[in-house]
Amino acid sequence: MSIILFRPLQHPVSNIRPALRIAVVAAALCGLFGSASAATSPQGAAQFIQWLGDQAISTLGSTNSSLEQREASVRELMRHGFDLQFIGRFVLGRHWRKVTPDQRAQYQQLFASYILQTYSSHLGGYSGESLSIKGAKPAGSKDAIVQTRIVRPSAPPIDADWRVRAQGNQYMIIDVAVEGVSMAVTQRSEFASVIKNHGFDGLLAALRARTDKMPASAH
Amino acid sequence: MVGSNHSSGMKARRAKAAVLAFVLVCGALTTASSTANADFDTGWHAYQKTDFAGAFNAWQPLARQGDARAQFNLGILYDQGKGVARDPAQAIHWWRLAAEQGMTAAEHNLASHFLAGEGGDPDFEEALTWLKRAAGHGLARSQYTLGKIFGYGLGTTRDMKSAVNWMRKAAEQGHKGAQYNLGKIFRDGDGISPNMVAAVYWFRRAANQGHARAQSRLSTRYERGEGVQADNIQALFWALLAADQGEQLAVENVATLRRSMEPADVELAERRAATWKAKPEG
Repeated sequence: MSIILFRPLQHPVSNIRPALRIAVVAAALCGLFGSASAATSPQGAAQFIQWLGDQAISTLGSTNSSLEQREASVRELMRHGFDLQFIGRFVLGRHWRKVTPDQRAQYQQLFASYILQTYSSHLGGYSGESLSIKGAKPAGSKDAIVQTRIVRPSAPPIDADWRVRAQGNQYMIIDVAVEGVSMAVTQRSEFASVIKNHGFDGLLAALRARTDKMPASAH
Repeated sequence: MVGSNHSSGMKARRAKAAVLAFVLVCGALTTASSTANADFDTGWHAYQKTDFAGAFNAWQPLARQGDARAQFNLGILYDQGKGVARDPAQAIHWWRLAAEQGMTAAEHNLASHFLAGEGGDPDFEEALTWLKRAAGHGLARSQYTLGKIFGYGLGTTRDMKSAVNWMRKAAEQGHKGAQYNLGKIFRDGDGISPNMVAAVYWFRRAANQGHARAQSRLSTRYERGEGVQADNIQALFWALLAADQGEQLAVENVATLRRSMEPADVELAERRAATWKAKPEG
């Protein structure tokens, strides 16, 4: 049942149950924002980013599970708000065509975990943090940029600009610029340098290490 | 006699004093240690409530006093920029202190830091030093990564014997990535005699835990009858599970299998897949 529901989304998930939940959420989003057109509505994109921020707040704020598990839940929720294939391919640049299908599959899996960890930390939701929408504007012919600020209790605020594209009936994040610097562009040059010095396997090892650290210790 | 009585009285008093001193020192140490534990727990509760500044304030004094757990957790706060501005150099400093006290998690995170090369270039040689320690202390994820590094030949010469050795240790502990990789090594005979039965064994253990690529490879073994009795229902069942996780090869195999199978068999595989649940080991 869930397999049939989930297939049209064309995204990887770790198991069937969250897939079902997310399919329901995605269906709700489609209804909320109406049908898609070539250009992305800045207002719709802003509502979408606000919704993701609210999801992060409600998930991280619950006390039913450990922080590590709650952060993993946020990443699973976010998985469907990001065009991970698109970002992953852009970041790899010309190397995309040079690697084997198996290496590509490994890269996409590792990159998805890495990008969700990196981007979701810019959505706020921790105690005392708040995300506010500063504005939204069209970008190019297809996208909208949503400008946000996260105020944090023990660190300077972060300005993050989210590049959103309407894909079919869904809004999808395709880049985030933190303090004006595009993550996708930064990662593209960083990854190219690792591949040049250590080969594609070196990049896979580096990506794996970025999401494989041991969490805080309870005792 | 008197002297001896006197002497034994002195001895008794000295013994009493020694016992008293011991009890006092123990008491003081226990109090200090229970205070330290209470402070550590205060930090942990703050951390769980995402009050990272509170966690930082509780853990920093303990870390300075040499508490390895607090040193490790302080490193996490610096590494992730939680409750403090992100500072990888500080993270390394505190993890190194915890690692020097033999904390395996700190050894692993130091290795991960040098492997990740964030903002710079990965340092595979430095990473290998710490990975070997953490893997030697039995941490499965370090053993797996060490297996990968030996297999790739990063910062060292490619050494499939060591790769297989570490991958096997991690796989036996239930690490699904290691089980999948060991399956591939046995399938391809990379640095080891090819053995399709062993490949199926390891693919299956990873597949049961929900590893998408292992499910896809297990499906192929059933389809071709390699290392296992050929069985299209099993092949479709595992392909469906892998395809549901976005495994591209499996998506194609599902289409091919569906065309060649009886509708009743297809339905049986689909029914099994719909109710299947991953069984994580340990």
